[in-house]
Amino acid sequence: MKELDVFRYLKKYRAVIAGFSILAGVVFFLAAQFRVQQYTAATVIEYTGSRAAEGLSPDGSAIDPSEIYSTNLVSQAMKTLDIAYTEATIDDIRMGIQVEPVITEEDLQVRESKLNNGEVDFELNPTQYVVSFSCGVGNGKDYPRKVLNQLLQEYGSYYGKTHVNTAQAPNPVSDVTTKGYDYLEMAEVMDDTLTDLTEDLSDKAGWNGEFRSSRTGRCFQDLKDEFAFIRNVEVRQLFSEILAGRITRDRDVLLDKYRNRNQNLEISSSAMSFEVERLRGIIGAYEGAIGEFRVPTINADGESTGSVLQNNVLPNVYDDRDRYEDGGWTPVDRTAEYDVLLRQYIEDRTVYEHNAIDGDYNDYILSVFTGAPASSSQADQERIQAEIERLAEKINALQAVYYETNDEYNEFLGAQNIRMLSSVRVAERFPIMLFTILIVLIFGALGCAGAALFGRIEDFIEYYAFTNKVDGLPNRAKCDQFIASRDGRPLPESFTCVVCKLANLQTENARLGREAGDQMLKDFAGILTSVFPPCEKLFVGNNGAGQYLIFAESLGAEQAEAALFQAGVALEQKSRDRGYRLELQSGFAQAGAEKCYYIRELLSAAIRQTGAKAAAK
Amino acid sequence: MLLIHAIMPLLALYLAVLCLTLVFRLFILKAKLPALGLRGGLGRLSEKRRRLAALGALFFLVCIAAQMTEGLYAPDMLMVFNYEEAARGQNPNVTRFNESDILSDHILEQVIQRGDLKLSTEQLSECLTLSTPLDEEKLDVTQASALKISTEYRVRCSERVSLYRTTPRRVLNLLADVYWESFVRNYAENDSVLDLSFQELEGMEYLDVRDFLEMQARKLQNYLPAYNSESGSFRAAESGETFASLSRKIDNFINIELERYEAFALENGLSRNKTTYQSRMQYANRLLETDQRKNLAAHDVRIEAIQMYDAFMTSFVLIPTYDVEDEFYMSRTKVGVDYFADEAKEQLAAATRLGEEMEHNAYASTQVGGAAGGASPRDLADQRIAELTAELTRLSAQCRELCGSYVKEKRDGYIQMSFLTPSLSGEALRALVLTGLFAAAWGGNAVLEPFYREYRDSLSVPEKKGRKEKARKGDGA
Repeated sequence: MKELDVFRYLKKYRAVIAGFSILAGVVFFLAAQFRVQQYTAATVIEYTGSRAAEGLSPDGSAIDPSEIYSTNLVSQAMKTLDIAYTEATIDDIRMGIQVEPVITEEDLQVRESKLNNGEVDFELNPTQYVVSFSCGVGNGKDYPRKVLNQLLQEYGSYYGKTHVNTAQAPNPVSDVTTKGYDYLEMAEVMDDTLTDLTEDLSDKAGWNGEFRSSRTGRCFQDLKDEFAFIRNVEVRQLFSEILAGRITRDRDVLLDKYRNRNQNLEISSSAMSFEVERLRGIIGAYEGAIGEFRVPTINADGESTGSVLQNNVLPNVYDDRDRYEDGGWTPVDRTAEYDVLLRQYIEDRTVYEHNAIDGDYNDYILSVFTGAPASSSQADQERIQAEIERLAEKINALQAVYYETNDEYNEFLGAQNIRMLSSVRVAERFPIMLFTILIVLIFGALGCAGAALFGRIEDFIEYYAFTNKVDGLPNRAKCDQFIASRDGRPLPESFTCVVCKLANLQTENARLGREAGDQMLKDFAGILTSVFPPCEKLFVGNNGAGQYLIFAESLGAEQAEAALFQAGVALEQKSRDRGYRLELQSGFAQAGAEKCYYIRELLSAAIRQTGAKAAAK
Repeated sequence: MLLIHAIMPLLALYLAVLCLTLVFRLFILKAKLPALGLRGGLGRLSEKRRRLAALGALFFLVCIAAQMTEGLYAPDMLMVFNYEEAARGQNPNVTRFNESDILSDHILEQVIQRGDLKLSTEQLSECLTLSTPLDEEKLDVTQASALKISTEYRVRCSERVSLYRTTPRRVLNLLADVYWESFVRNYAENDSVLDLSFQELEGMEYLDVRDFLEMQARKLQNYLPAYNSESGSFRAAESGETFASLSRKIDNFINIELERYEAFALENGLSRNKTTYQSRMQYANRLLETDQRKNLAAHDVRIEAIQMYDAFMTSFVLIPTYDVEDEFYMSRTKVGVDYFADEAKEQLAAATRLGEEMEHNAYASTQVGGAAGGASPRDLADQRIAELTAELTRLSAQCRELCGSYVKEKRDGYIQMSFLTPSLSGEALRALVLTGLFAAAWGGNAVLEPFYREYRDSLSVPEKKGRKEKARKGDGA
């Protein structure tokens, strides 16, 4: 059997191994690139609010970056980008989003040193976060960038709205004319709305006086001035027209309402009066009790030691905060009980006084409408209704401008409190090309191992099924197999078939015995294979009938003659060494020379020539 | 144009085939290539050098022409955001900048509409891609220097748009126009507040006109401070105005011109409708009185509480400190009465303000009620109103000019867009490399050609060969 030579197998199967590895690489690349690969869009944000380092939003709530992928924001982003649910669901997108805090080496060192200094309660509050979104490649490279950008856009606006600019005056004027209110009531609603709006806008103008909307061109001060002008001029004009003309839809209902208001005010005043009196009692009793504690004490020598409350102020502010169960800290109201009592007294007394004043105003309205007709004339009603509708429309239009300005203000606050530290970058998540190269190498290595294994198995099969055990050459079956493989196909002109025979095998076998005969065959085969070394282009086999067949893809007649001559010389040399005679009987036929282009015919020609040579001898 | 775009891939394919053929022939003939024979082959190649040179030159020219044509036909567009806030990832109005807006559906819809393009938004979206130079860099959060914000975006339009009867350059031009307009409309400075409207003055009470004009003048004044704080020394090239000088002019308009007008209207008791105006003033005073009484009541209650406060109920600590002028000042801890006094003071201030307003209303009402009436003062007032509105319009125009020139200088158009034309030297270098590869492959094939022919002849079936020879002879005959 052939020796174990891995390189022989590798050389034999190199094309298969290479093809297999490349095919595996191509299949992997295609599958990974279109099925497994993901695009990841990533950016870094930083919370920059004044209390961000404490982990708090401007409104005092804890910073919660998971809001970025909350369902409502993802849904809004999908709506804006017009992403249908067949394309991606909310959860598909939410699953693809990751928000990771950025904790630097420096942060860890600070924490370490704080903990070492005994600040066991110290908590690291990262303000920078990496926000990323990963998705398949099916929608293209711009898709993750769009989604992440839109999400951050929505989040910025949401953050501004819910954690910074939490107040926005409502607009009950929008449908005031359709509610069936009386004219005075409608005017009151407008007046109240405008009062709220001007107060709200006044606050905002104070906070961010320089903010001006790019979409509306207005700043909060502009809007406040416009609302205030409407209130001071047009709404008051409306009031005066209603009151001067005593215009009402239904006088009795209106009067009943104001009478009822007065009734409620009286009840409230009575309750307040009761509470005020009781509070006075508590305050008096409290003062008395504390006064007792202030009586100077006398020591054993009859000397006064001073007030017990003297010199009892602590040198430092202490215990300024309480702790929540979850570990957070919160300031606690430590107002002295005496101040709390007086504060309650002031509030109750103020309500009592205001009730009296509001009652006077209601009396004024009642006095105006008491002598009025049960229902004003149709013309007056239509005129006032038209005026109210005009005003409502004007307020609504301005309110729409305010809301648009406020929306942009929320975005502004979002950008002020959440800073972008990096542009959104889109990259492929997996290095598919690198993996492909690895796959090719791995499959190449596996192919090599497989080739070695398969080659060795083939060697075994070759040895046991297709090898002549005496001389180690391919046996008859192998020769038939080779001939069959070339049968039917024309041979090239240089194809040559050589037939050799050990002429005196039987004689020498009978003379020296079977073992010597076997040795002769081995020697003969060895010399043949040394002269005609088997390779891809040259086949040497024993056909089992004492004939050795040699098929060469490209062998000239002269080369064949020379080789056979060399073989004869070698056999003679061997005969001298061994003590038995090795007599070569040979013949060959070249396809071109014999004009015989089929293997069986060529073999026959070679055998004939061998026979002819033997006969000639 | 699509055919031109196919040239480079075809050339690359041809080159690949040529290289593979060369490799294949080398593989086949490696054992049969005698060194001397190869030398002979090289000698024969020198006979073909003219042909090789001509083919190489042709290959080079076709390569460079195809690349240049491709680059010129479908160039990339570079959008550079050159305003200050862009480097912080913000729009000029300090909201978050979103580069995906550039290729958003609503922008693409407008591009299609404006260019009357025959394709859908989705199809156009597939032809356009957006990238930044930072996409190539890895996001390394551990290094602050790696965190950068791009201010340049490259937009590429595929030549596939040619299938829809348009060109990449036209699409990009339309996109640039539409996006710039959208950007300016949504994120840039908006001076529409300077477009003053005086339509409401029609039929307005003479005394309300003052408030209305003051409100309009305040709009102009509110527009200036932001710029004044940014660049107080900026001057308009023609008028030489600065933000501060213009603001002072508006102040003068309010404090002098409007005041004079108000004095004139009050002195003459001017009113469009005396009864209505008086009625309004009466009602306004009624409301103001209610509010004033409430303020005074709140004030009185707090005073009462302060008086009730027992001095022995609390103690305070004196705190040596500095005042605002850095002088020693003895402060103390606050106690309840401090807060009550503070609130009482606020309530009193509000009541005083309301009282003043009531006095003013009452005076105006009295003046209007006592007026004799007459056309002459009214005509004078109308004339004065016309002068005031003209003055305000002039101030508005000056504001627009000043702010406009400042914005132009500061923002420089917000976005600069340009097409990236291919570099001739770069393309020539690329073409040269390809040509070198071509020459090597072609030359190699030419050298191996006789050996390969010989090899093929040795494999060929003699009958076929004979048939071929016969056929050749027949052709010759």
